[in-house]
Amino acid sequence: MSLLQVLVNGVALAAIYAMVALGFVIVFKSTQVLNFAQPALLLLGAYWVVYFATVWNFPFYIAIAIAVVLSALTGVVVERTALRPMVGKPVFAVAIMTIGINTVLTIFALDLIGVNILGMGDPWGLQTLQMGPVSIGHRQLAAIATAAILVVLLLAFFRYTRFGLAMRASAFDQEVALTAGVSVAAVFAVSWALAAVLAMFGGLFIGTGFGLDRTAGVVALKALPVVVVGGLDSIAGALVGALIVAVAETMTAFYQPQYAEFLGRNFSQVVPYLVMFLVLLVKPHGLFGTEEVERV
Amino acid sequence: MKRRWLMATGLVAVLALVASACGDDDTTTTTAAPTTTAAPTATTEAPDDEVAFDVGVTPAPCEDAVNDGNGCIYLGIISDLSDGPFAAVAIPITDAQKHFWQRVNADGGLDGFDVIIRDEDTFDAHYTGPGTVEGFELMVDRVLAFAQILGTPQTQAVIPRMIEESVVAAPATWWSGWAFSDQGGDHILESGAPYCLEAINGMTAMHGPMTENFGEDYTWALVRFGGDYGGDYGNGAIIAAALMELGEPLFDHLQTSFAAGGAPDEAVGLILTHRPDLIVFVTGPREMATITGGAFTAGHQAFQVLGAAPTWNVGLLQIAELVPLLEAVYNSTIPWGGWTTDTPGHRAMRDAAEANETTPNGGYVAGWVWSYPIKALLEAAIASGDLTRANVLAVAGSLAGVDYEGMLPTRSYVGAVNDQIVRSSLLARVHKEAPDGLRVVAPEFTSPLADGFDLAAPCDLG
Repeated sequence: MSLLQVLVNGVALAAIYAMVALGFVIVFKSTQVLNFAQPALLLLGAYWVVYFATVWNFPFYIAIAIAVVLSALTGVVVERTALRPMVGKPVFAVAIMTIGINTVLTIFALDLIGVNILGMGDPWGLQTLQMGPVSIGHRQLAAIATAAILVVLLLAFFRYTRFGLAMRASAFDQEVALTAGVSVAAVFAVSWALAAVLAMFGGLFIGTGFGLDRTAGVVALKALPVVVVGGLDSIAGALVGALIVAVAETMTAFYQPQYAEFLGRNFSQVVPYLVMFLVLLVKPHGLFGTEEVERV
Repeated sequence: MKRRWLMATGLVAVLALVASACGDDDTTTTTAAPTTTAAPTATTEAPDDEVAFDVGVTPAPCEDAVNDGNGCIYLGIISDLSDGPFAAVAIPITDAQKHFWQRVNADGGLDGFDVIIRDEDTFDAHYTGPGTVEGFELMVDRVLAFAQILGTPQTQAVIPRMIEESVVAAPATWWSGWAFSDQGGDHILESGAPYCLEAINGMTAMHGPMTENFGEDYTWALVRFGGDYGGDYGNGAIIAAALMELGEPLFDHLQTSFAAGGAPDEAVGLILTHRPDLIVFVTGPREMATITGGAFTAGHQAFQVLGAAPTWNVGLLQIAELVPLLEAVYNSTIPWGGWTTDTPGHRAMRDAAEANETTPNGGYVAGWVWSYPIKALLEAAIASGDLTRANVLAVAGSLAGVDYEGMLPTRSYVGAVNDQIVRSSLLARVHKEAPDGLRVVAPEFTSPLADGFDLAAPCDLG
């Protein structure tokens, strides 16, 4: 197996990590809260695709469009009902609240998913594109392309729209943004909606090809080392962090059993957290995170 | 502010409506509310006053008794019913066992007793050892025996307590150790060939097609869960390969279950690096499907897969994109005939499933088969006039002539290990039109290697 093949697999995995990680970053930037509800939003969002694509037999892309709307709605409802009352409370308490939200939504999602593996009805299946010695799955290409499109759209939204500008202002300083007429409440709601939609896309690509089941949410946990490595408040950091973590994980999975067997089996599963640990030692705010300066 | 609250409440209501409308009926389990079988007239005789009993037996009828004059025998189940790796098969296993006893009760019960598995005596242990022990302790003072304890290490975890309490159980596992007294086997009434012999049969059955398609020196590899059936079936495959002079596996990968945070990458990497012609999978269905599909997508496209019985689940057919690959490569050993097999036992099973609106599933077949030894045991204990736990355990040690209504050959639990173990298996391939997703390609057979194999100790690779 070629190094190029390993890298391609790593980049495809990075695309999935990046989608989930961006959800963490957007919520953190606008609310200063770490959103631990991403795994549940991922499960629920992916289930909507399964449901509309395979139970209602809608065309796959229509199912995705409906899932986008429902996921965004879920994000808004979560923010409005569970997090809005927490405004002014310590950030730590709000973060704990997101763990509670994750639990509630996960139970709900698992009840919908059931115990079987569910097909996503995706058009890619196991089709591959052969380029010399490298074989790329169509679903991998779709994941990379989708992640790229989402990042471009997000950057354009933040840069060229009034609301995007309002979100950036709010992220910079909420009180100043309020005095400038920015609806911080709307910013919070939209950031949760975006996070839910991004998680949905992550879940979509976890489930395509091999099916969605109850364990899919576990992948969202890998987004935590990704955002810590990249920096909690940096979109570019989420992308770079995803690439570093995913490629390191994939390279370890392929080469460690051959060249460093003494490290034991399944060592690649430890690597994302090892990378996170190393980055934290050198740059505690992540590679692209904003360093906080506290005056004494 | 009021408008905002109204809006938020409205959004919640909309989501709740969508969610409730979206509840997939197909994914709901059928464990609840067994159908009420038309109660026959209570012509059965009241329990014989001479029958002694202690825990888990009452002279009073069961709740919602089918036969009012009968006493009641309570059985328990400890299984994986929600978020463990085998919930997809454990739920139909449990359904089948409840329906099995409904059928027995509808036929008049067992010589003056109805048998019941109540919802409160059905415990979800999430496929964990501590959960299994917890379930055991919860029920041990109110059930006579266990109709099911699922999982090898999970059952091993409660063996000491089963010995202390003189409790007998049917397993939902085919561990070869259950044949041995020093492993607690006296307390376990297993059915079908142990994993180890199932693997030997499977490797033997695959040998012809493999040499035909890949040559005499085809290579093989092992992807398995640690311990449990991974170690038992895996060792059987290694034993068979050695006897067939195939040599060691190219690699022996211990796969962590996805439910426990495992990922497919390492196994896929090993497969792509070594490119084995035959991959023996002893994992859950999800792990097998993802790793097989991942290896195929990444470029290794000429291989065959041999899987253990728990490695397959009909739910995989829901992934339409994966079915062509599975149909091309997947071979499964199974310990007994599948859903459509024509035996009196299978027919009774299908009738029960239909009456209870249960869809075809290999787990349901297994649950039905595993119930026969318990039925034979209870009949024998009642006939002896003693339903106390101590006597039920004593009777289990001398139980012979267990009738599976043709689903398996009649078997005995008496005698030396090699004289009583079942050695036959079947080989099946994936077929999307088959009700349980498998079509038998080699009917019940015992390979010469399995026939002559001396099971001197549990096949345990660890």
